[in-house]
Amino acid sequence: MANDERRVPSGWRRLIGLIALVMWLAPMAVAQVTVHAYVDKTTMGDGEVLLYTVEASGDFRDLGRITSPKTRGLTAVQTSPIQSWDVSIRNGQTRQRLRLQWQFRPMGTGTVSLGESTLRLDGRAYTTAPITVQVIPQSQRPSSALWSTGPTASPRPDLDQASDIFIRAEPSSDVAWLGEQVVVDYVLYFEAGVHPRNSRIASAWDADGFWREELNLDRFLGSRTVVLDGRTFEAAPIKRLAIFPTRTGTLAVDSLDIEIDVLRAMRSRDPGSLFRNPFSSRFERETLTAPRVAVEARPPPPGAPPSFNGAVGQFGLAVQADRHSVDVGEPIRVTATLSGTGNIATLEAPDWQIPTAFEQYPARASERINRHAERLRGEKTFTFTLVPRSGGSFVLPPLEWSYFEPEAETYRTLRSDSLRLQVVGPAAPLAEASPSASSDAFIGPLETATWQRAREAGPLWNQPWVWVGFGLPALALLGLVVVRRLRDRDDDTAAARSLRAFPEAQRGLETAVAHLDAGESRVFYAALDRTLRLFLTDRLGSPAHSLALPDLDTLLAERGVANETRDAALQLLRESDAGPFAPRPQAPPADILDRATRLMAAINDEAIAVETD
Amino acid sequence: MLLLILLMLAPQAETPRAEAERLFVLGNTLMSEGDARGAAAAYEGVLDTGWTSPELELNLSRAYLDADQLGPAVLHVERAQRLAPRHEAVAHNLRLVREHVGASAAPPSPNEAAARWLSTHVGAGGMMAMLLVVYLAVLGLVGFRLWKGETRPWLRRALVVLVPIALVAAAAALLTARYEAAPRAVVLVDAEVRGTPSDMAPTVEEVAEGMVLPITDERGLWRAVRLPDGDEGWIEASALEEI
Repeated sequence: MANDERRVPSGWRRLIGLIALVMWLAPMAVAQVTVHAYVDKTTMGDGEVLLYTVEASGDFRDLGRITSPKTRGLTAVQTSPIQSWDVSIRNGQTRQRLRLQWQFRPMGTGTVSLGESTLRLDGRAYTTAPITVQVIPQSQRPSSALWSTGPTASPRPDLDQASDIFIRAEPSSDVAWLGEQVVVDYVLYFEAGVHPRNSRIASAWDADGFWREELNLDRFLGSRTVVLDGRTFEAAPIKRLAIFPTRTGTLAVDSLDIEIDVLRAMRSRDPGSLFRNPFSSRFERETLTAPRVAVEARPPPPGAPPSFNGAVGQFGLAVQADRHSVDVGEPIRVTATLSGTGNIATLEAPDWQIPTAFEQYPARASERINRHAERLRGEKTFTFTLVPRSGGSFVLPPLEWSYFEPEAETYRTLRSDSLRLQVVGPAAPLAEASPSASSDAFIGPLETATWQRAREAGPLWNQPWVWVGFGLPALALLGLVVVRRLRDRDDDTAAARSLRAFPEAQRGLETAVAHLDAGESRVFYAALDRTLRLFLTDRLGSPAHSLALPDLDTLLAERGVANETRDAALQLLRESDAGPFAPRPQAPPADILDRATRLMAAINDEAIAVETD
Repeated sequence: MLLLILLMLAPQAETPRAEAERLFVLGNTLMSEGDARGAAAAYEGVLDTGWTSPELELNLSRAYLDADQLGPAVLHVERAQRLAPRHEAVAHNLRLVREHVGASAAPPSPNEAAARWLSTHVGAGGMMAMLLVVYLAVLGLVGFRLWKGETRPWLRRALVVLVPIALVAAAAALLTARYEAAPRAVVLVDAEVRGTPSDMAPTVEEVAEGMVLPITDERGLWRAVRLPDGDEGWIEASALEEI
């Protein structure tokens, strides 16, 4: 028990600790957005280009105005940053990564700096730390530390590595989608003691089936050290290409001959010497051949959206009009800018269905290609010139443009916002209430109105007329059924009474006999008369007990009772009618009961026979 | 007495209508002068009188559009369409404003497409009237048979034809009525859609002003809506206005 009492507080302590931990971690979970800036190098040559990146990641929606960072000792290569924006959703949480990249050239040697960058995300400002970079003369730039962004693919074992210097082409991928960018690096491998310089292409060269774009290696890219089959090489890229398959199948980049001056430190003639003699070295021109490389080009997968025109890569779309209110006849220029990574030169203009109220001129295209990046990227701007021919409010439909993203292996469709334009001037002869299908101007205001009482339009089944319309006929039909059933039941009752008439009459006769045996002849006659008339009433279905004898005779005739039977019935009724009123009691005839029995049996049979017919 | 009551009520009914017409003309005048916000206020004043019309809703939509209030513009043109499904000018503006909003809705199911077509071209009331006619015919034939107590060949043939027609008409009328009764709302301002009806719930999506969303549930100040991709989420009721 004592142990239990000690354990409970311990559990509470753990719970409180857990709550405290959650409360401590909660603000960290809420603060999901992080922004930081970095450069691709902190020491650079004065001939190099510095890449400055501001990266924001987390859950944010709105990006405020972007301003270039303040710099000292640097000049911007481009005025606006290159943007890349990735969005991912994991476990229902949206995470985005925004990258803004600027390129700067140093204005001289010494210490240069990039100031704080402020980024507004969802209205909140995020400031990055300033960065300082050391710029040194290009000649002093150590070569081995520079080339850190080159290809990292492992050397292929099929290469002839017998020589102490060779070149090979290294594609970023052996398999590509049609139109996908493949970067091919021509890398010079050389052993220690081999000093290459002054390379140039020595032969004709082709890459049939590819769209080819040269990428600049304007930054001084040094070498890196690699080990191939136990031998140590320096590897330095000397040429970079972006190629885009233009047809499917196995495509080849031809072998490439490159002349290069090579200086080799000659070994001493003394075989025992382990030292090289630098004074006996000399440059020799050598021709090196980079073997051809093959790339398997696959067709894009099915399911391309209608607005897909073959663009492959990663792109963004921005559309803007130079004005939103113009006079009739005044031109409006709408620019659609596609930017991103891919074959910028071959991007096609979005297909844009402009309202017929506008005269549209062919789109002009201009492009800006960035060949300094690791991959070919840039932007292409299409300028649409529209001239409104009539006044009114117009909505220009959104532009749609699709591309295939190889990394995600999916098609993506970019869609701009629609543009609303106010055109001042005489409107086209658009009928107020009968718009033509081709018109794209908003109608209104209308001058006349058809008035009605505003009311809450509930569901139709709440309207009374629906219930009345459907209910009343159903009730009427129900009533009809009830009436019919009642009538049928009445018929059934008459028949039943008819069937029961004879047995009941026999019981009535037995009562009459009892009175006769008791010597009450008057009562006997009265009982006989009542029995006969009740029998006739039940059997004939009519109130025979109140009928005069002629009427009863007529009724019997209508029911098909034979003349003899009718006469006998009337005779018996006269006797039973007169019996109670005799001056003194008289014994009834001995056969009166037999006659009554036979009479009722005859009527029973004959009347039944008539109904059955 | 009844006539006297009617005479007393008639002027009271007409006075708001005269006021409605006066405000309607005022709104049109303000529109012609470029005062879209003033015109919208005048048109809203018409609605306060208890009178409405498809043309009023269209003009109100146009005024809000010119005043850069897309959400109310969509709301009123949708209401105009509800009042007059086949009004050409309303259908025209509705098409344009939907293009302007640009929100692509999920492709409708065959039932929804059929209900939308019936609602636009016949209407739930029309469908119900057609059903009523067929229903009365069937009941009449059945009543005749019950009364006479016998089934004649022509009666049997007529019932064989009419009963399936009545069933189809009933299904179509129900489909149309349910479609028209389904509550839909316009997003008045850009809003966040949350996974549960709580400010603290994570945002699963954002919806833009002017989008029209079906309401599937309500809980306090939150409304559950079905998004164009078919998912459901919760939006604060203040960001929506039911059509």
